[in-house]
Amino acid sequence: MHFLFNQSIKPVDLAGVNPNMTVLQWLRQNNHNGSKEGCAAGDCGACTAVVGELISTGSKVFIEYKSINTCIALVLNLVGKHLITVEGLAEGDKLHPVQQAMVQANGSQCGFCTPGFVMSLFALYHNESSIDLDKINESLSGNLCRCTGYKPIINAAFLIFAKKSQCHEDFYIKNNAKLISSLQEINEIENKPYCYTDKNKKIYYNSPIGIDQLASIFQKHPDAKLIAGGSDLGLDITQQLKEFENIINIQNVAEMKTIENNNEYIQIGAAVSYHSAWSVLVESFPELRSLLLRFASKPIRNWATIGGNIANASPIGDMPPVLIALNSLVKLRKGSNVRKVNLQDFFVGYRETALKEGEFIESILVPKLSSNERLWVHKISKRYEDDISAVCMAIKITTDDGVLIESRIAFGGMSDIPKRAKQLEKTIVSNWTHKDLVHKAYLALKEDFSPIDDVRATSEYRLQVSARLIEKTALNFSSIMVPNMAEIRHY
Amino acid sequence: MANTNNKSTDISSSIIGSSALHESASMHVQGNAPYIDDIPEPSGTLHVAFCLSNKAYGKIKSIDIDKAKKANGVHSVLLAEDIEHLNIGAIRLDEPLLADKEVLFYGQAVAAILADSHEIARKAASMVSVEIEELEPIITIDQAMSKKSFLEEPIKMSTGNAKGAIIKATNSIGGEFYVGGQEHYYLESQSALAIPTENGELLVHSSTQNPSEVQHLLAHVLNIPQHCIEVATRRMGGAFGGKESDSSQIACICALFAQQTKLPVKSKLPRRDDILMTGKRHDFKIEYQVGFDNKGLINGIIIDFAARCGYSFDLSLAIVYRALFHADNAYYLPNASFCGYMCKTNTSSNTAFRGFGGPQGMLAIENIIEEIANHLSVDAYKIRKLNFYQNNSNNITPYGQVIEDNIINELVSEIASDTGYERRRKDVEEFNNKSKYIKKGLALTPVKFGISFTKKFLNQAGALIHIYKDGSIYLSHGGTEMGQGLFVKVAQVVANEFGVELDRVKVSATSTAKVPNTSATAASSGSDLNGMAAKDACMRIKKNLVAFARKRYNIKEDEIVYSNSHVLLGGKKISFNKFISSAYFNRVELFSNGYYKTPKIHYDEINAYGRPFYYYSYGACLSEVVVDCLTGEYKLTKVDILHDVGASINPGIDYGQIVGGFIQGMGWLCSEELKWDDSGKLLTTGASTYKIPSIGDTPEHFNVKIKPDTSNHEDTIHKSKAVGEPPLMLAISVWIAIKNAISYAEQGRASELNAPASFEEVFFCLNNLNN
Repeated sequence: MHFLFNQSIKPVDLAGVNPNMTVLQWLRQNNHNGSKEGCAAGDCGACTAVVGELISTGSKVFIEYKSINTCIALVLNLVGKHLITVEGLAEGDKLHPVQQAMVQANGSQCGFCTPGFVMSLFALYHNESSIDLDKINESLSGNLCRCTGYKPIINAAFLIFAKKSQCHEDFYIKNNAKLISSLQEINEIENKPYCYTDKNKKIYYNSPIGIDQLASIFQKHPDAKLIAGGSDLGLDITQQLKEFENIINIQNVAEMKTIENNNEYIQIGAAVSYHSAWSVLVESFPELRSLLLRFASKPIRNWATIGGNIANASPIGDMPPVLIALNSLVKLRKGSNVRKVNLQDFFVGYRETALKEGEFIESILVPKLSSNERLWVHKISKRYEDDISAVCMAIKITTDDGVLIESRIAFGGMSDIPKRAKQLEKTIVSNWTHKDLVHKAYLALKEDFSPIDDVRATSEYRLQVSARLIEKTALNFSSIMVPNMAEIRHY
Repeated sequence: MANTNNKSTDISSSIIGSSALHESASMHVQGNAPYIDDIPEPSGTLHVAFCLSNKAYGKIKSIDIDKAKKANGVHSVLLAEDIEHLNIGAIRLDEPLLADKEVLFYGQAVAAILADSHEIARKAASMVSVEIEELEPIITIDQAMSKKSFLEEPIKMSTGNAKGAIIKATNSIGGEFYVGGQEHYYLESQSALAIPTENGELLVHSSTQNPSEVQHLLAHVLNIPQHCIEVATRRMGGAFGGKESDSSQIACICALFAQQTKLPVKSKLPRRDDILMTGKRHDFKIEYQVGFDNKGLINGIIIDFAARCGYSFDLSLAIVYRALFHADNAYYLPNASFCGYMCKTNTSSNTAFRGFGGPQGMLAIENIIEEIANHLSVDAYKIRKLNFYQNNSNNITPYGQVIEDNIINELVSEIASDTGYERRRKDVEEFNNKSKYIKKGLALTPVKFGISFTKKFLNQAGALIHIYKDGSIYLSHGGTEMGQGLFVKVAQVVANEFGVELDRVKVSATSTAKVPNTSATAASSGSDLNGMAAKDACMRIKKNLVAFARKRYNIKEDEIVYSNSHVLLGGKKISFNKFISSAYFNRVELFSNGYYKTPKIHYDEINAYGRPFYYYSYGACLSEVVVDCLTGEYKLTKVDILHDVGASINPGIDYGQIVGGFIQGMGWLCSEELKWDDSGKLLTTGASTYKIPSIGDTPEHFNVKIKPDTSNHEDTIHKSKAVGEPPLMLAISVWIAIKNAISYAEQGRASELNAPASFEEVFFCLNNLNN
């Protein structure tokens, strides 16, 4: 139960920690106060740190550095990894190039969000050799600043890369080989079940490395909470003040971290993060890129999984509508039994799924588009970055000789579950080129859904804007391009 | 100011006007600039969490604290009945520390839990059960107006005969619109750490803009003299007005527990609690009537402002006044009548927020100008120019202040010509003529913002400067550092006076033990007031040094020059350190206080007449947006700003204030929407539902220019101007640009646009499938 921390060579032992403890709680209890708590919900990024993870691809072994929201990540998820916080950047009195640039560009005002920005920039520094505004915005999408208006921070990011070639190598580049072997060493430690005892309570934590192991543990402890990225579950701990008595971390289950990509479909293991699935998803479905860029924030995408996005059965998750429109299946496993369920039937009620006791999602099967199929996805939210959808719409159409013959449309935010709009599907088949498509779509949507008024949108906006999104899609189909506002910077 | 004591050159001239870095920048980026939650906790520190009301209005029938009290690690539970001096408040003592017999808003603190840790305290707080007999709450402005639920009689301001002028005018229009409030969302939530020292005395670290007020209220609540309490504030993780009065409650509760237990007590509010418990920017409903000629010259105007103030008085009176003071913005209104209603509602008590009512007042008149333009089908820019204040006539505000420093005409002409406004307008029109689904909008709006606290007595400040024997300088002043760069600016003033490098000046944490009876760091006044007070302290020390040097070196006063960390004494040049050391051995007093009060200001509240402002700050902003008429979504594509900061003490810091203020204002008018349900429960209690701008909202084309070669007309510190609040109102141009885009749409109903212009709000001004 060890991880590497900042510039220290000696691994930190986590023996004795409560499995419910977040990384941020651990840091601050151990007087590493550089990382700040702004929201304790993974929304503001003041707590951002970077986690180095050992990646082996064939003969190549390297450390991948990814930003993380420490406020909602569980500290035990760090086992075998390298945690780098804002305290770990400077070497003695010498500031890290990222820190120097932030100082020079007046990138801090009150300074409270600054450690988080510095760490997101540190991840950018390690992951990119050149920079543009898109990359900067993407990498800082999970950091809120209330003082600077971001412009000085953007300037700082450009400054880092303008000077990168002349800069000294940071500690982590210089010591790369040493760090790799340290990580290999602590990774060799066997994954044993762990039990935390405190007075009269016992909390169990397991981190199986194989799927059979997971299946058998989960069958024995069906009440256990499965956790992968923890970006949703962490909120139960910090916001709802829950304490889980049995946690099974599936992040290290090898079989569930794989992606199979062939001509027919993509199979994505349930523990694959958005970060890891990004390239295969965008290659297969270029239309998804703009949605994925708006899916939560960079640090969330780094750790959150598609499996989790499905399993939590949120009515406002962004991936389920897309996957339903694509007619995806989920592979479920209980003990040694495996069954496939069409994703549209997986969601049975508000935050309720078809999963049986002791059953878990093993992988997701996403059929590819055939040559006469097209996909569009639209997201409506209050802010383009890091926001939950008011409406998320995915529409797949099938054409025959340029004529629409079939459609499959799924929505998030319109019902208590991610759901197909069957009336709308029928309506657009017969009215796709009708001049009053929008009104017909609106009437169909009213039959399909009775959305709620809530903090994100009124029911009426949800219905009407969905109808307009259909209109926008039809315009696009007939080559009248109405741009996606989220994607443009100048016009 | 004539320099009678000495001269300061070289370094001095480069320090003032240099972009010296924020004094904590290097600590910020390393995470070692401590905020209250980062201060090493003294041993035995206990933690506080609050149990909040889950009803907006009702009688408390019972509070069951048994379960919470018995929980492991809980020390005690505090209720209103346990507190002798229960009420606090900025102006009136009308805010109970804990709800007493009744709850007045959803989220009001009902009980405070003291426990071993923050987590235990929070869990115990959730175990308290409060039985409330619900009463019908007043939540909205409309409800308050119809029930005449006011904190105070309406306030009025008028000049000429507005009604008569409107009747006589060739054209007249009227309307109403709603301007939303704004959550501060400072990244560091409210925090306090109270440490008992000796003999019933306390040191209280408070994340506050207003240490003196916290001290004053602590003394009241603890029933001890103010000299028993030191309140210290090193830095805040953002404040924006939200820590002007709202930081007192948590400090008082911590101190009460510390007094009881004789142990250090700390609290930092969880984000949800912070948003629920504390006030926000006031939302306003604005109704107007305006009469104007065919060119758009305003003949008469009547505006009624109804502000949601919340359950208590707080600073609402001054805020609503400031809305009225800014309802003219940069326009001469010979016949104007403004009225402000202070609606008392069962919501948290709205409070100061950057601009302090000014932004709402300004948005009202800018909206009206846009309506006039739409009515006459002319470019609103022409209407704006036509109505601007002039220099020798048409220069008296509705409250009687003669504007002596007006630069709005030249400033707006400058930005219009810099940006090629006329061509940009033509481009937008041409684009819109050809584009059905996408419309562009363009707006160039001015800002004129009055500088000074409108309560005269607040316009005073103190400083205390020590020069130690080694020549290092320790500067204390009454202003607080919340990120705005006040500390470095005042340090620049001091370094300049002594001709020393900036590093030599250390700024202390703000403390009531160093400078007493200070005003809040607010109203953009921080560097104006504290810079002058610090300069005064320098002058007093220099006076002592002059007397010493004249005698010691047998020279005249004007032969003493402070420069490059040296002192020129006639023909002799010695290091500053040596000079100071020698002064010490010759028994010269090397420390002094300093004091400043703003001159010239006076204001008669009853007749709403006088000179409330020492001077005005000006700016203008051109914003361009592109709107998707199908969805209501839009993007801000271009922003150009020209802003007046007088002769800037620190352009780097000022630039940060302008850019940051603009984006914060944009958030207020665009994506930041507070929502309550009908029962008065606030629904937007976190960053996942309340959307402040994120990085992609910052436009790529974002040119910010500080007006060059300018200077304050009045004798302010180095002829600079205040910069904290005014830039926020530059963002009004974004909202107006959106409105402008809607007006270009075929069926757009631009008049119906409210603020914030959420995508949904814009959508329904463009579309309605039910019509």
